[in-house]
Amino acid sequence: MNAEKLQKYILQGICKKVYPDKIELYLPFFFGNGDETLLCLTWDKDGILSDGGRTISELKKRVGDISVYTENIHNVLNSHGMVELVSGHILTVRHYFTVFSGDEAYTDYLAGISKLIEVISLISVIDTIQVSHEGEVSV
Amino acid sequence: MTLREIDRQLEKLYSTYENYNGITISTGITYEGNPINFLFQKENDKYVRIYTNKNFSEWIAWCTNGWTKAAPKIEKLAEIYGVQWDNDAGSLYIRFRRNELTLAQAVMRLQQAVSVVGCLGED
Repeated sequence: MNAEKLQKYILQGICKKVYPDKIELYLPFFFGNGDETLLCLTWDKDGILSDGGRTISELKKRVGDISVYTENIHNVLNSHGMVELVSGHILTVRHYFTVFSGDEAYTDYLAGISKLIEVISLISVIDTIQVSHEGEVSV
Repeated sequence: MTLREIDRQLEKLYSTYENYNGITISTGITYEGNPINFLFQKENDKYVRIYTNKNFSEWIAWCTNGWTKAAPKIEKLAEIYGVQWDNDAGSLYIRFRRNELTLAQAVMRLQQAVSVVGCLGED
């Protein structure tokens, strides 16, 4: 196997769909319920990224009442910045960093997805971890 | 314009390259500003293991003040994702077995474990 072939295998499980008004990225996320399901992350035409409410919905499906984890979830959000909870269940990134590379300045959308993946990873197993106000995790 | 730029950046989300260590999987994902890439390791002439790079080891050494004491917690957190901990190298790894996980799933699980274990604080 060479690097090119390996990359092809990785991308076989990751699908990107580009539409005139949005981009969808499907990633095989592990939601703590024993199997991977494809999670769709969507950017709208203004560059706003969201999980469509899937993370909270998967958590509810698995644990039922999530009110007991509210403080933990808020600690994750407060300590990670960038990611907001919209309408109580949709994880959203609206603001991105501007990166300077030589004379060029560009909006770093990949940093937004990094942060969203971090937050989803933590919230999807929030019933098995404790998150402090500073965002430190303990078992 | 925005979507075109997002699409262009997403093209770089996962890429791979070969060097003397084997194959590196560049995830396009950064942790605290540092790229956390994965290495694809060969055993008996077959690629069987994906593990985190030096940036992650340095991060976990810093945030746990040396990972020895934190090892049981790291193992427990990583286990949620079917990811294991190499206490000698200070790396998280996942064994890739054909027909169990696709490569994309293995990469994603390792990435999720990095996100959770990387938040460990020093006790």
